[in-house]
Amino acid sequence: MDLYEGLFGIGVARYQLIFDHALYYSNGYVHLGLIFILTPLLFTALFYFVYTYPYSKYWYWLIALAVCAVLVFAITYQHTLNLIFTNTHPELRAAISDPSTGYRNFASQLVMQLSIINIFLSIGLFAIYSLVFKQFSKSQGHLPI
Amino acid sequence: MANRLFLFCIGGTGARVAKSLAMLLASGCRLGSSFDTVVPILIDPDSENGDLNRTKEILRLYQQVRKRVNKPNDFFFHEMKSLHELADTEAQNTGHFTFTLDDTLTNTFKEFIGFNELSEIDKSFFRLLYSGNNLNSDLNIGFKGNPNMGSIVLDQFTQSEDFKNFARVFSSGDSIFIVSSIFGGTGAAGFPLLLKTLRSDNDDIDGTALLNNAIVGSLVMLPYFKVGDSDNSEIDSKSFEEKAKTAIRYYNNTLINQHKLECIYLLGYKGAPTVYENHEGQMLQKNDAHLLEFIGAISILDYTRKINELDLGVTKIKEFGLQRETSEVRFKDLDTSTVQCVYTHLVKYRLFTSYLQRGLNRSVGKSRWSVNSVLNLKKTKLTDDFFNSAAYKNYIESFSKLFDEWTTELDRNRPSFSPFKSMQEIANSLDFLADKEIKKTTDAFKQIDKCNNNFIGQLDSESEYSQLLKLFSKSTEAVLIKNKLMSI
Repeated sequence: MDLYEGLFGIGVARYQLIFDHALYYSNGYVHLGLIFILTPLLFTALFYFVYTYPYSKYWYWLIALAVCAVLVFAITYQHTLNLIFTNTHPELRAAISDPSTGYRNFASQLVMQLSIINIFLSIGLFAIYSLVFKQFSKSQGHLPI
Repeated sequence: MANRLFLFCIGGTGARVAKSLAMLLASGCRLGSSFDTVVPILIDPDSENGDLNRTKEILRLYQQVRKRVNKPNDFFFHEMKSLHELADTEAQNTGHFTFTLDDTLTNTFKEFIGFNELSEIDKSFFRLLYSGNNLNSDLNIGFKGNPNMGSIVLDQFTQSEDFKNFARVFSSGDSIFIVSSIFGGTGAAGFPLLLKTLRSDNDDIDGTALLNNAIVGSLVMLPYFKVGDSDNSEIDSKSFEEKAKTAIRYYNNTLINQHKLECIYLLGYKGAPTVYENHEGQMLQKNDAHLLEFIGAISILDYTRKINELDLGVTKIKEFGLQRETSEVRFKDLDTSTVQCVYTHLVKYRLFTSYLQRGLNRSVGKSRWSVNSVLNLKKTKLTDDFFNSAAYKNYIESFSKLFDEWTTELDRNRPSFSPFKSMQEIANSLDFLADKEIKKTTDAFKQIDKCNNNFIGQLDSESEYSQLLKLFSKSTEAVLIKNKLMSI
């Protein structure tokens, strides 16, 4: 929560219902964290330890990074969408159903914001994982640089 | 203590057998376990001989590669030293493998024997024994198939400084092997003379007692090729068989029956189909590598491996036979013990040299095993810089090209030794063995690169040459095992 609301400043008091019920009490933040932590972990592990093509160049690593980022975006987007729009909390459902509250528009923007934030976080972690894993990788240990 | 094999190679045939042996040793074939060093000594008055000089170059390259590898475990396993190196540790000319023969560079045979100073009666006697062509023949092109000339000129071993050096450095446990042909001039004359010198009691030379009690083996090449007819050459291959018979009779009476040596390998090919151009000597005498020279080199390995079965003063005679008579010999035509001795090594080395020629460009600077990145803890020394260095090009690349040239020559000679197919597309690079049918297109070079990536981390403390040879020894072996090609 601190990461998203504090560091990235996405929290808006007016739409607190979303942050409380869709993201906080239903462990949404934990899920978002797991997505940006585990997806690049899985990708870098696959890239450095399973993928054994012997002629990879630096842009192969970039492609892996891009695919990872797209996947993180897609998973985050879909998951956050589910968390917010299929939430069963009655007040939140009512607020989203009523266009005059502005909740629907804000929720849509929030889903996009969270997905983009996760992309950046996963890219950062992808780079960190790469620096660690390349020491132990036999096939791609020379990448990205 | 590891021992040394002093390998006397007499004449052009001796030089070509030494060449085949160098190729076998480069591929990792092993001498008997008590030997760690080969000391080739090439004896040929024809100092410009094409075969001799090609062999000297190969031995020099072998030495250059070998001295850069720390404790090799496969390719270039054995050390190769020149007599000059052993005799004088300060010697710089480590590539010098020839035995110096006095007065053969500028003299004619007539001048060598001091013909003009002889009395008329002696001159007449010499004219009975030697033709006018013999007497006027330049010694720097050899004896042109005349052992009667060779037996005079080569009877100088005991006075030779090189022989004294050899006797001085010869130690207990070292052994001697002599390679010569029986149907030419230099080898046919040199072999019995050298053996006589080795077994003589000469108080002027240190170490003769050790030489007298040394185990000595020899390879005598019977006729295995012919030369074309030429009006400009004194060499006539029609005389080869008759000369061989006469020489065998002589060897039998004087060497074998008197047990002057412990083992003699006889190799020949009756009705030899190979016909070389007729050159009396010098640069133009540069014959293709031949199956029998390859088998001759194997006999040297056999000798060192079975030396413990030999008894001083008891002569064993050995011959070689193919499993199946054919004009295109492959591994499956050789007997099991021969195949065990050489198959794996030659196949691995061939895969290595093919890779260097065809597969290297794809991987250098791209595969992990040839790239150092900024933060890697384990470093490879096999980078672009190494493969572009003069030392790599001059030694490793040159030797691997000579190895491929050697296999090509063996393939085109008759009878041919054709265990390898000509190089295929890289995508089908596993399909290189004539005895094996590879049904599925397989890129062996890619498999080698994958294995190299796996193994390079284990070799990061080695020098670049050690890394290269040890890495490819492991990776070629892994690829052959994976594809079930380690045995016939």
